Amino acid sequence: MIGIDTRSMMLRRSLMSAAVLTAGMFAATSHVAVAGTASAAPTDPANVKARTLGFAVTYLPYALAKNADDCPDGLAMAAKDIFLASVSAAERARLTKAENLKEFEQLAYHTKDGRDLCAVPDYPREPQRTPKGKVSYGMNLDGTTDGAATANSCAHEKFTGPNGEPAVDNQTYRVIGCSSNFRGFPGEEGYLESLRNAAFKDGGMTLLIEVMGVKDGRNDENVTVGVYNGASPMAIDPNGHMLPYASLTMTDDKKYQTVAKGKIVDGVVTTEPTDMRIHYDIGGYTRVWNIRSARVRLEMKPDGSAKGLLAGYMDADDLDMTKGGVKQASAEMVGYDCPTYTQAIHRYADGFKDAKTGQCTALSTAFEINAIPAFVIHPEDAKKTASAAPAAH
Amino acid sequence: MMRVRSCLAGAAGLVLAVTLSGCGPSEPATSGSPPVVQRLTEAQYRQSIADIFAPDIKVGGRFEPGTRKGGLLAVGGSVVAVSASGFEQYDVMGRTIANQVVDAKHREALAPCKPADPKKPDAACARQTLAKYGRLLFRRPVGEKELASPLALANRAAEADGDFYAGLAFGLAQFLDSPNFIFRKDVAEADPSDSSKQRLSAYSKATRLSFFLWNTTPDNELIRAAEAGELDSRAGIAKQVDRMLASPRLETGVRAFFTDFLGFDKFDSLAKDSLIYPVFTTKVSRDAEEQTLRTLVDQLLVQKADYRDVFTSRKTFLTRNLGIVYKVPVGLESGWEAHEFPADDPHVGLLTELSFTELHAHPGRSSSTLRGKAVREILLCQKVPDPPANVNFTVVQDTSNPQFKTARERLTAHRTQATCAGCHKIMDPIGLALENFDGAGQYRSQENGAAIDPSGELDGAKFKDAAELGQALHDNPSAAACLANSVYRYGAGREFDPGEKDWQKYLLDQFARNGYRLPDLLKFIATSDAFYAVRPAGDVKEAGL
Amino acid sequence: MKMNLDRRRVLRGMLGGGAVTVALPFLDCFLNTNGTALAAGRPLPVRFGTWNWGCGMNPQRWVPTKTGTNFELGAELKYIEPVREHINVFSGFKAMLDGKPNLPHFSGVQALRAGGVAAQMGPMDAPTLDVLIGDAVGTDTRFRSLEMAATGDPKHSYSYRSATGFNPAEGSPLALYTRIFGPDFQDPNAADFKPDPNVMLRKSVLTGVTEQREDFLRQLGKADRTRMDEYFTSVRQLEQQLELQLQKPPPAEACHVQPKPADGPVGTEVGMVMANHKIMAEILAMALACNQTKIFNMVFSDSASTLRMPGEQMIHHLMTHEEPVDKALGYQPKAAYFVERSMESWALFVKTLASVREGDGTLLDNCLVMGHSDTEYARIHSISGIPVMTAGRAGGRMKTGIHVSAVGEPVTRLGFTFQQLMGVPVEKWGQGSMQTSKPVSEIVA
Repeated sequence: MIGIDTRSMMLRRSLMSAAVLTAGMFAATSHVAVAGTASAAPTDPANVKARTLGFAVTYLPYALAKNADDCPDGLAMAAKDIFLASVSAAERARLTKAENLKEFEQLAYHTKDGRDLCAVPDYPREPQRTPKGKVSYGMNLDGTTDGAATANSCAHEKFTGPNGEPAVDNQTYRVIGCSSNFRGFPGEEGYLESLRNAAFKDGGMTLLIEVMGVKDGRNDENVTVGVYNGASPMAIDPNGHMLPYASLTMTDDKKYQTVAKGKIVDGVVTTEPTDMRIHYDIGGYTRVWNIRSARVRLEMKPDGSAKGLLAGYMDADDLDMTKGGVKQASAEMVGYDCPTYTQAIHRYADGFKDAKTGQCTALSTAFEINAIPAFVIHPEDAKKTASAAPAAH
Repeated sequence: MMRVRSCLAGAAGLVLAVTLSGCGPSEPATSGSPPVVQRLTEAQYRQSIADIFAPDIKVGGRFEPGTRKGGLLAVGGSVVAVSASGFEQYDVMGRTIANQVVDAKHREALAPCKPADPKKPDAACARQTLAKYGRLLFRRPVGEKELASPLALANRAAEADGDFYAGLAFGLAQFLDSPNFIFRKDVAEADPSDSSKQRLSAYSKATRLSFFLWNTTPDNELIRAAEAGELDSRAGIAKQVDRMLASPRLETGVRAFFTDFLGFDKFDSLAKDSLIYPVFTTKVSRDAEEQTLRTLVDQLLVQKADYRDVFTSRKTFLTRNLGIVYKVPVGLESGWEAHEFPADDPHVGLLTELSFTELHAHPGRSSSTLRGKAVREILLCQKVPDPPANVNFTVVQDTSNPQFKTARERLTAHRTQATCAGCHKIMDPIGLALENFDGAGQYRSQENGAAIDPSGELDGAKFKDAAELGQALHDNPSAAACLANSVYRYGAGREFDPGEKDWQKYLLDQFARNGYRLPDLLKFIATSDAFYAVRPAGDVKEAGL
Repeated sequence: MKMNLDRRRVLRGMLGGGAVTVALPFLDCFLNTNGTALAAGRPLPVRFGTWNWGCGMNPQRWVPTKTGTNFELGAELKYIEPVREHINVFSGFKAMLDGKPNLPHFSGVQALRAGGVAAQMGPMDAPTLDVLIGDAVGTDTRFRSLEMAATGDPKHSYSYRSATGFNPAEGSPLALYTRIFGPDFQDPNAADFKPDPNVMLRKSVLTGVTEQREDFLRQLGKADRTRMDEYFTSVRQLEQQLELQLQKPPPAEACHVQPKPADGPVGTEVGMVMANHKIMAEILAMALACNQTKIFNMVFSDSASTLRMPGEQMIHHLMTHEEPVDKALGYQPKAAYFVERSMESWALFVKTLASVREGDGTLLDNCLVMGHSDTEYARIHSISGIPVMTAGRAGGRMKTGIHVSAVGEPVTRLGFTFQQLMGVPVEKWGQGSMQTSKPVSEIVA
């Protein structure tokens, strides 16, 4: 049965010890919430009814390690900074005066022959300042231990994960890791990150995760994991926080429904590589991320919430703002110097080598998943006609 | 005069006889009660205006709070007056309504005639219009004397303003400001069959019946029956009662009853602390009220179930908003979805619905005492004595352990101190069974890290959790009796008269006999003699008021 | 038909049992425009009002130890410091039960406001002070009285004419403003005055309603007649308002109408209550300065205080019972917070009235405001030493800045004194042991 089967709670209870039953049992109905504390071994698996666990993502930032030693030369520069660094002090003083703004913008955001910088991706630039630290979040996507080129991937340097995980791929981190708009400042989230994640609250982004066919919430060799955009906005409480246990309809657009095989080990769900597509709306624009060979690692907690990682290869074009036809003056607002970024994206691309050009077209990346318990409602259940209003006769 | 119900007493009909409503012992006579004068509730006022004029007439104004007497606003309506600020509001409402009735949008449909010249008075048309609406608003024909003043005013105003319709509005406003509209006053007349007795006038019977079953002013058919003298006979009343019970408008009346009975007016000022209970919003509050009313209507009118099952049923209706609080999935994006809680789910019956757990709790905490009191007073019709005089709380407070974890622990003193235990022992055990539901109605199995123990006892019946409490309530004879008594008092607008003791027993017997079904109860009451019986007030002074 | 207003008839039949009598002064008496209250030649009206907060105070932090004018202000009373010259403090006065039960948060209020106590909870079956005084002095203003509740709940009012004559409060600042300063308001200082012809017609509507009285009362028992008489009294009061609207109102130099307030939320969260209280106090001050009424009742918090703090599980009332007394401090700190906010708001209320210039002094100089609670120490519902204060000089008739301690004296002495100061010809007041004819002379000028 698709969706939450509340009747299966009955069977689930029979698996639990009494202590578990009283401890937060219905604090998280039908969720693996209690699975984390289950001590009894399951009875014959054939008799156990499978259930579905649902989650709604509340926060999906890039998983950025923000090591202290990442950016010794300073944070990545935007066009303005690059330009000002190239002129004399006197010119700097003159051009930063309010009355010279037009001239400044013309000089800073355009080539010498007047073309907008975003239209000239190979405009000569110093390479993007990139994290020097050795640690990054992410997963081993290409299967190698050393990042050497393979048939489908390009040579690149690997990271070590924060918990010592070896051979982590995260080339996106190299591109954005020293940019203040992604990395932020101590105690302050990156501006672009906060913009995008605000979409969860304002209805621009709902992302739902379903773990289906679960017979044992702690260890299960065979589950199915769905990742879908949601058609319903998140439920928000009077203080502005997202509410758990909301019933949220998933999208009926198959492009944004991803289903992958997976398993659960010690309460952590992992999935097999599957291509994924996610959209989000921000400031009236719909952006789409194509994440190829995506995989999920999700730790399900006793209180029904979940935390983990979404890793995969992000299409270079999705990272590249110039593909959207933006002008440098606009890109500037998020600290994005078009030529620097485009060049960095190509320099660091490590996945899905183009057969013809030999260029890699995607970058390994990782997102942090933060999720609260939710009921994922499938479109056919949401569109049923309402139960007839009780007519007295 | 005893009333004998016809009954198929023969052997062949015995089985049928038992199931026939009302078959059995005869209705005991009562001497009735003095006429009542009841102030219309806000809902009754609004519905009356909608039914008499048009549903899109806006009633702009604020209604004074009502008073509960014997637990019911309907009974309180018979003792409230109208304050100065309250009357100011009625006057505003009356003017607003009257002005809309005569405006360009409505006058075509609502006025029964047109003036010869709209810029001048037209006595004949004004008379016709005022007579029509006077009769509907006063719920009885309006005599010449009563018509004279509004008519003169309408004509004078039309002259002064150069506008027939503006004048008409003043006349209508006089009706709307009249106690004959704002209150419904029983009118008694001499009983033709026994001049020493009185009976309610046909219009008073129609009014009582209409507000009882439909919570609104009598419709055209009921007025016609009253005027034709049909309501003077049992058969005539029964015919109207059957008609009204079969109508979809019955749902409005039943909802109005339960809104009063269950104290849902408290929803108007219900607030929760948004830090402690972020799930609570006005939307949740409104949905909680509607959930219970919708569930009751379905159970009692559509399924025609045994009333007592409201305490043990797991079936209800939910919206997505409510799904968040109950922590269950709701497929329908908007609107109400039928939902059945599984067999061993703690959500069972009325007591575990948000309308009960939220309403009878504090803004930031649950309350066993408030919930226990509500079960006693609302559902069992048992009065809990007022809190005692000078309680010395220094004795009560265990200062060595100020942080009791669960309500059960905090209320130990209630149970062990003699001055407290007397009353608290009839409330707290009931409420403690519901401690699994916090102040916003959300389920929890523990409080401050300690497990909640929901076991207890209700009048000798032990229960181990809220579901069993529901069963104990189901089995408690006072529960059904309380409903039957309350329905009667609600319809009659008063407490039981001492002369109705035998009849009260009969009422409860009938309720049980009919399987505790609400439609049968309503029919029984609405077709009984007692419901309409009237006797003069003891202290009426006719002269020299 | 004019009847002599007989105070004894008014008091008969209340509280001690017996049906509510027809001793309510009948309608015509309200037509007296000047009553007997005002001394001849006094140009500015004297207003009476009440202000109450729920759940008392902590005596060791509130009651001054010294009496007279040089008393110290403790931790809870310190808030009145900026306005202490306008205020009298009364401590030690008690409600006497004569064997009746101490109904928590109820008996104290009844004794203070109605002079007696009932045997059970229910609406007060007797006219409260504000009604008694209003009947004597308040008949020539547009509104007989104005009731307000900063908590937003119309049921939070302690003004009764009788058990069926409850005066509900206005809970919304905007609605209060609209009622007073909305379309029916006539600016007393407006240059030109044109009586609205429609007002005559509206008055005629009401006259016609009043004519229905006799027929309506036919066949009714005593109780119903009394309450329906209250209905017709309310009709007559509105008629009187309209009558006043037909005359040019006397100028009121102090009347300056402010713009209307925003339509904000109402509720029991203490911050919200204080904010709405402030707005309502300002509207009230304007209403008094513009002679819209001479009687008012402001409820800051209800007797069994439902005030609450965000994030706190317990409302104020619950705290007074369940919060442990802090061993070091000697009182319940969270509960005390609400007492302090109440005192802070009382001081703000007094200041608001004092900030309106009127004649040679201020609006407050021409007021007698009775500020009171329902209990002394809420934890034990004690009704000995119920805190009472006055603000204002009652047009010069009352002294100020004095602490009077009268341990063991009945609270009715206060209500009796206030009635006398307001010109109500009362010789004695109160029920049972609380019957008194002894004013609190310390404050009589």
